[in-house]
Amino acid sequence: MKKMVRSVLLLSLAALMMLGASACGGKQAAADLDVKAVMEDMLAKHPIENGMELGESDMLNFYGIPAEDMEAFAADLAADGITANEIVLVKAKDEDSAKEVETKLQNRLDARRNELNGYLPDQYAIVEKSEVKRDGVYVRLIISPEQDALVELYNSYLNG
Amino acid sequence: MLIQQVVAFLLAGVLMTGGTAGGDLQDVPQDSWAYSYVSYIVEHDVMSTTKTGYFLGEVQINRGDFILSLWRAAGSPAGGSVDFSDVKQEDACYEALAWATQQGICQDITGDAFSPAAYLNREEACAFLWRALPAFGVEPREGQSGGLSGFEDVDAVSSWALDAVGDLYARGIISGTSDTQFSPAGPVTRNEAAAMLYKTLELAGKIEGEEKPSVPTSTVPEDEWSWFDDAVFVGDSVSLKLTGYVTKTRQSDPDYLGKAQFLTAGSLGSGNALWEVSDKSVHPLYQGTKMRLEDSVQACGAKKMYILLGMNDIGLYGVEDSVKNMETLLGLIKEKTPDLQIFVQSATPIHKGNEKKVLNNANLRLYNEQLQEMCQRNGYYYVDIASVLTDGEGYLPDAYCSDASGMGMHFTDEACRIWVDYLKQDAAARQAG
Repeated sequence: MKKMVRSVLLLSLAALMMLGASACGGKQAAADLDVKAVMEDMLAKHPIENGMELGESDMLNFYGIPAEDMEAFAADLAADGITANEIVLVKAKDEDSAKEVETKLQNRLDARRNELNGYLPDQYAIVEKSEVKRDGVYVRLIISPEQDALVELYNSYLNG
Repeated sequence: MLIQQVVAFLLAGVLMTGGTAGGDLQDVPQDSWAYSYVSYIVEHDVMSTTKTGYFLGEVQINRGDFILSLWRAAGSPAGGSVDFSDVKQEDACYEALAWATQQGICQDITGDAFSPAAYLNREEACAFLWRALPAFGVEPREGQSGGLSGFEDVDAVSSWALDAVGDLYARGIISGTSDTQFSPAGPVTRNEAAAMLYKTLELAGKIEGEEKPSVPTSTVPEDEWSWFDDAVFVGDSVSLKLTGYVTKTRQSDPDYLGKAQFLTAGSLGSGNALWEVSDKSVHPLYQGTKMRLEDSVQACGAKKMYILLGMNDIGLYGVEDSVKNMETLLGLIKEKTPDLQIFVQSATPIHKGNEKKVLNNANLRLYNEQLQEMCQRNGYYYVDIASVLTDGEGYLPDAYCSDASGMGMHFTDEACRIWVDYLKQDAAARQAG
C-alpha cells in the first residue's frame, strides 16, 4: 500500500513537472513574433543615428545570411562603420537555418569586437556587452548603448 | 600640385552642378587656354570625351593613353608588334604600342613591362613625342638643351630626355610650369597632352585643311556606373564609411557605384592583412566568413580592386615598411587573381589638429609618393583621391571630417560623395582614352 501511494505521488509529481515545463517553454506567442514590427518599436524608442535599413542582398553581403535561410528579417545599423549601433532580428525558416544564422551573426559580433578593440575604446565597450541569442527559429544580434532596454523590449515580444 | 588639386576639386563641383561649357565640350569653356587645342583634338578623334561630353582635362594622363593619342594623331598607322608583358591584344593601346615599338618610341623601357596604367610625367611625354616626330614628317633635332638654361631645375631633366625636352621647348610644343621651373617629373594632364599634340600637328603643317588623321572612335560606356560592376573596394574604417554611404545611397539610386562589392574592416592594414586568419585577426568577412584578402577577393569574383590602406600601418611600421607590406599584399592578391586590375587609392589626409607623431600628413604624402612608385613598378593604377579631399594646407577639410573631436580621419557623407564622383571621373577618363 505504501509503495502504491509512493508510486502515485511520484507519478503525479512527474506529471506536474511536465506540465510546468510545457508551461515555461515553446510558447505559442514566439511563433507569432513579427520581427519587423519589433524593429519598428525598437527604433521608435531608441533610434540609430545615421542608421541604414538593410535589404535582402545586404543581409548576404554584410552577414553572409542568404534569403533562403530567412522567413523574415529586420536589420538596421549605423552607416558610418565606426559607431557600435546595430540591430539584426531574424526569423529563420527552420531550426537548422537558425543555427546557421546564429553562427554568421556570431562571426559578425566577433569581427566587430576585433575591429574596435584598442581602436575606439568607447565603441568596443558597447560591443563587449553584446551577444547573439537564439530562441528556436528566432535569432537576434543587438549591439547598442541601449543594450539592456532593447533586450528587455525584444524579450517582451518573444515571451508574449 | 596644389593648383591641380583645387582645379580637380572645382571640376568635380562643376560636374555635380551640371556644369557650363562651350560647344560640345561640357567641361572646357571657350575662354579656357585649352579650348582651341582640345576642341580640335576631340573633333579630329585624337582624344575623346565621355558620352556626355566631358573631356576631364585636369585628369592626369597615363602612358598607355598618351601613346594611343599620339598614334591617332599620326594617322593610326598599322604595323609592329608588342613585346610588353603587361599589354594584351585586347587592350585599347595595343595597336598604338605596336606602332610605337616599331618606331623606336619606347626604346628606353627597361624590363619587359610598359606600365600603360602608370601616370606619364613631362619628360617622358617629351621623349615619346620627340621620337615620334618623324611619323609627322618632322626631323627631331639634338643638342637643343641650351635653351633650357633659364630653368632652375634643368639639372633634374633626365639625360635620356634632355634632347627631347630641349627640342620641343625650342619649338614651342612644351613650356615650363613657371618662368623658372620646367618640372620634368611633373604630371601631364589631358589638356596639356591635347595641346602638345595640336602643336605637333601644327608644326607638321597638318592643321587647317591639311591631311587630317583618320582614327577609330573609342568606346565610351553608356552607363557611367557599369565600370564598377566587377569592382571590389578593400579598405579600413575610412572605407567602412564608404560601404555604408554607398549601401544607403543605393536604396534610392540602385545603380550607384554599379554592383561594386566591399571588403572593409576597421583596423585593417596591409600589415595585419598579411597575418593568418585567427579569432583575433581583422580580415574582412566575405559573406559572413573571415578570409585572407587574397581569398576573399578571389571568392567575390571581382576583376577590379580599389584598395585604400595605410592609416593603420604608418604609425606601426613607418612609411617604407608600410609600402613594402602593401606591395607584398598586392602580390599575393594578384597571384590568386591574375587578371585582376588593381587600383591603389592614395591615403587621405588627417584633419587639422588631429595629427599624431608618426601618423601625420607629411608622412601620408610621403607614403603616397612611394605608393605611386610602387604602382609604376608593378603595373598597378594609382588613383589620387587625396587630391580632391585635401584643403589648401594639406588637411582633411572640416566639411569632410566626421570625427574632428576624435581621430580626425573619417569621412562625412559629403566627402564620400566627392570621393565617388572622383572615381567616376577617373574611370571615365581611363575609358575615354
